[in-house]
Amino acid sequence: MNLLNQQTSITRRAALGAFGAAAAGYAFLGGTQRNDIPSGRVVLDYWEKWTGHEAAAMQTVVDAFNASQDRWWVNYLSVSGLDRKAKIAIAAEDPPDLLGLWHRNIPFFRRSGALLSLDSLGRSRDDYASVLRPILFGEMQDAVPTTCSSIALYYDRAMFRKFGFDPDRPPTTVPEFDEVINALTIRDKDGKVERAGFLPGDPGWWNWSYGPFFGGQMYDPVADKAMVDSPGMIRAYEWVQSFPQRWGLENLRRFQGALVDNPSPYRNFFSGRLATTLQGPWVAKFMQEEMGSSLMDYAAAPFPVDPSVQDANNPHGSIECDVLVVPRNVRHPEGSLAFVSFLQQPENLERLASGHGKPSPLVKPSASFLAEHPNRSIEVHQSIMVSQNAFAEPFTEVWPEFSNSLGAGMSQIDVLQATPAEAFAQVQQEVQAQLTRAAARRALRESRL
Amino acid sequence: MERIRTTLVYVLLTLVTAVALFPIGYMLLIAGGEGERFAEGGQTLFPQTAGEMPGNLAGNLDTVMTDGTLDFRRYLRNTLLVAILAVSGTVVSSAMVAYAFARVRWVGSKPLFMLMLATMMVPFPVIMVPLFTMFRELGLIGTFGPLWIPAWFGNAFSIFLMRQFFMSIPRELDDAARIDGCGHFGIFRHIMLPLATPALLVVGLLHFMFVWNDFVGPLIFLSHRDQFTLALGLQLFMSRLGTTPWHLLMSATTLMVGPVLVLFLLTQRSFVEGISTSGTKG
Amino acid sequence: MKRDGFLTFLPWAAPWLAGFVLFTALPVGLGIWYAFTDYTLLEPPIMVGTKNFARLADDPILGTVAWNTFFFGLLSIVVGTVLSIALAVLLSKPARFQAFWRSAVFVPSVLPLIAVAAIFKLGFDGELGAANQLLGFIGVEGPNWFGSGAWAWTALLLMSLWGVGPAVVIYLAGLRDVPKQLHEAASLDGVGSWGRFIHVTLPMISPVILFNVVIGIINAAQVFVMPLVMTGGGPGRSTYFFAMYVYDQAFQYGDMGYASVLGLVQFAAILVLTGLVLFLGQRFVYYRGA
Repeated sequence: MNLLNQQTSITRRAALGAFGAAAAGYAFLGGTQRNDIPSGRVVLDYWEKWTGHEAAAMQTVVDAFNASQDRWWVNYLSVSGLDRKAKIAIAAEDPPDLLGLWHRNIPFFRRSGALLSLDSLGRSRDDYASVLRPILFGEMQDAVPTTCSSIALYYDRAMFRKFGFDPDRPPTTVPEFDEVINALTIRDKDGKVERAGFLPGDPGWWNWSYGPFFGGQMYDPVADKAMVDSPGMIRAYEWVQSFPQRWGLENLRRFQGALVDNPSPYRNFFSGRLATTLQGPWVAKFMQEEMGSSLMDYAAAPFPVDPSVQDANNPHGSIECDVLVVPRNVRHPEGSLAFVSFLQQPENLERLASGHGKPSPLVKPSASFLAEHPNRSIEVHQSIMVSQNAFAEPFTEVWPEFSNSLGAGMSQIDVLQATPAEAFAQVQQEVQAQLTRAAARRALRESRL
Repeated sequence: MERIRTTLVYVLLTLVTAVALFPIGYMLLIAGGEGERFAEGGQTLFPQTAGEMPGNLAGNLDTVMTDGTLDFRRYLRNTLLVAILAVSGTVVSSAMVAYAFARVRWVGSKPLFMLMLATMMVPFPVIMVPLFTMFRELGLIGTFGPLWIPAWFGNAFSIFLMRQFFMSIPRELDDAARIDGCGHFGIFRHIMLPLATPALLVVGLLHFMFVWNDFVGPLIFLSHRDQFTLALGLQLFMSRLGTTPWHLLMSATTLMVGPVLVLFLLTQRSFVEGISTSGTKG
Repeated sequence: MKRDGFLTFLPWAAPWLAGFVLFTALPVGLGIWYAFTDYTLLEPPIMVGTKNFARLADDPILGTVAWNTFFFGLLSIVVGTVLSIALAVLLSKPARFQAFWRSAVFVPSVLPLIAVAAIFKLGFDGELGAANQLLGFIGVEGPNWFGSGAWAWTALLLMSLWGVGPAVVIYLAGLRDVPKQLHEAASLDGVGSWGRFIHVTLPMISPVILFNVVIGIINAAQVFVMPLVMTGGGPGRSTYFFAMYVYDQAFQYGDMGYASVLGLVQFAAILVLTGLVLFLGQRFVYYRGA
């Protein structure tokens, strides 16, 4: 018995040793994925959020830059949790040479003096759509756009036709839109929703954005005041809340139960379970990837608005902007600037934009860009980009906290736990406290200088 | 009556085991699938037939490893490097300190031991920010340093475990050695260490698991993707959710879980002994 | 017996003593200092007195995260203790392949949390997840697990219960140490098996229960990875826990000063709760030979 035990323990030990040796051999002897960098080049690390085809599009620009000169070599890296990692790396004085952020990160980094001036590019504010100007310029230009998007309403033209709506004249006001939604919605005899005409919470990326369609604004950037409980905001979210009210919370929950966490956030729209949806221009790219030849006959239109704020020449829509910055303490500022300058050449920006399926960040896109764009409705997105009624997330350093509070309030609205007026009274209080605190912290720092 | 009882025990054991092992089997099943497909009764991720599973699994693992997002070999190398440095540090330092608490008869030893146990109660968030600043001042952010240097200064749980073990070694052995002219080092070297080899193994194993599974440390102290450990790599892969199909995500998870599972199967007895020791009073 | 001097003790304990100063005392001290400053991480800290502490009084989120953490901890400790004692009793019954059954129960706890979270995230997916597909087999339409607070809690609780292995193993060791004579004596007095469990087994393993509960409190106060990966704190703030809030304040909102205050609050809460449990434990726990 004892002997047997000893023997098994010896074979186990041998197996353990063999296993360890195999793992170590695999890990330490083989090569890892690393681009071969030509000798004599100075490597610039570039952190970006994109993966997949979006990363590939930027990689072609990077490749072009690397081929255009023989001094620098940009090394593109996809990084998760990018803004937080960048914060840590900048604090540790070991930042990447080039950093791709979301526009919402800019206020914090700018206020902390973490960004280098890009004024040497010689751009002026007028080179960019007005909604982008506060994002790219503080006291100096410290960010450049990589890609920008505007968000619009997508619909299936064939379905419109089938239900007697003119696909060339999509709804422009909320009452018209409600009519379309009700007509396109299908419910079974138990009331369960089988197809939703529209769902404000799907895909859930722009739940914050309904206010301006009703003339509401949740933040006043000039006075630095929260306006979450303003009348327009409340009306907007009363409309959002009307969905669980019209179809029943439980029915909606069952419908959405099948939506949450799907591998593709677009599938409900692509599969026809959702008749219309709020989406970005890139959706056309994903449609090609996921639907292949059975591409739907889609179109985009500016999101319908309340009749009181209708403005035919200036469509409403939210925009978002991916930006490129150079952090302080980079090792080779001139190399970083060389790449920024290369990327900002219109043809490179447009190559990137069309690779992502997005509109051009420039005020005047080239004719060939529009003609060859993968999204057939790109002109709609382009017109929202330059519209006076384009809007972005509140541009303040407290936005991470702000959106957390807003999200908590909106989730109460979604499940009919509170009316928008009740929920937003609480959010308003929280957000105003955040803004006041941030202002005090800014003042404290300024008094130290 | 007795038979019914025995049967009931086996039924319950089978049930419990099934529940415990189900998620692992589930992971393998999905990792051996081809992703989402339509089937009778709605969407499914399950593979069509059992026969195609191994082939799919191999293919999926290969896809994940060569995908470019998950540089498996590099992350494994990083993880092993940190583990080797941290585990050897923990074993050496904890054995020393445990010896101090178990055998050196200084008056202050008992209160210090209590203090050490109390440090286990300091929540990580309390020291997270200061540790970050300290390591930054030392220029160690973005290196593996913060992940293994502290291990060389003893780890409260490992010291505790090893001390429990040393306490169980009869003192008569020390006395005999002392008569033979051994000092503390002699006793440690010739009596404690040889008898405590299983305890050293347990402490090493537990710490290896800790390093392998640690997510928060690398999350805060590492910033460059070249230095990611497997736990961070998996999170990077997961954060592409929305574009990453479930079967590939489960394949990546399999890559991370596989080695610990094998390690556990080979060393289960040490593990279970180590954990039971920690709960018995000493 | 000869006693040793401090100089004999010092070299042996030196690694830990140095480690204690460097990696516990110093960071805790620094943390206390940061608690009195305004610190964004990117800029040097500025003293602001007790401002950060004053903020505790009117922080609308603090109450939510504290309550979530406390209540989830209570729930998982109570359910976890009952379950792990039951499993330990089951596994202590003489049976064939005992090593196998024990290993099976222990296995889940050796897996990386991040991997476990990935598996459970899929398992509880509304449409594709195993949970709802299994419920479908018995004709029940499963809920949208991460769509409502109560169901999200259930999912998190089930996931945490899956990792009771170590506690089970510790209870097993405790059960093994219960003297057989006590059981036999009780049997002779005509006490049934349930009565023996209540009057003999439980008192005998009560120190082990106390140990597990203390470990449970320390762990529950720091729940982080599991909800971060599974729910991200949602829906609303229903699964937003204390450690997540500290992390957000520090690294998302850039307020290291307030994050330090929150960390100290967490530390104080753990100290008070474990102190309380140990104090109560001394009155109820049965120590052999005491």
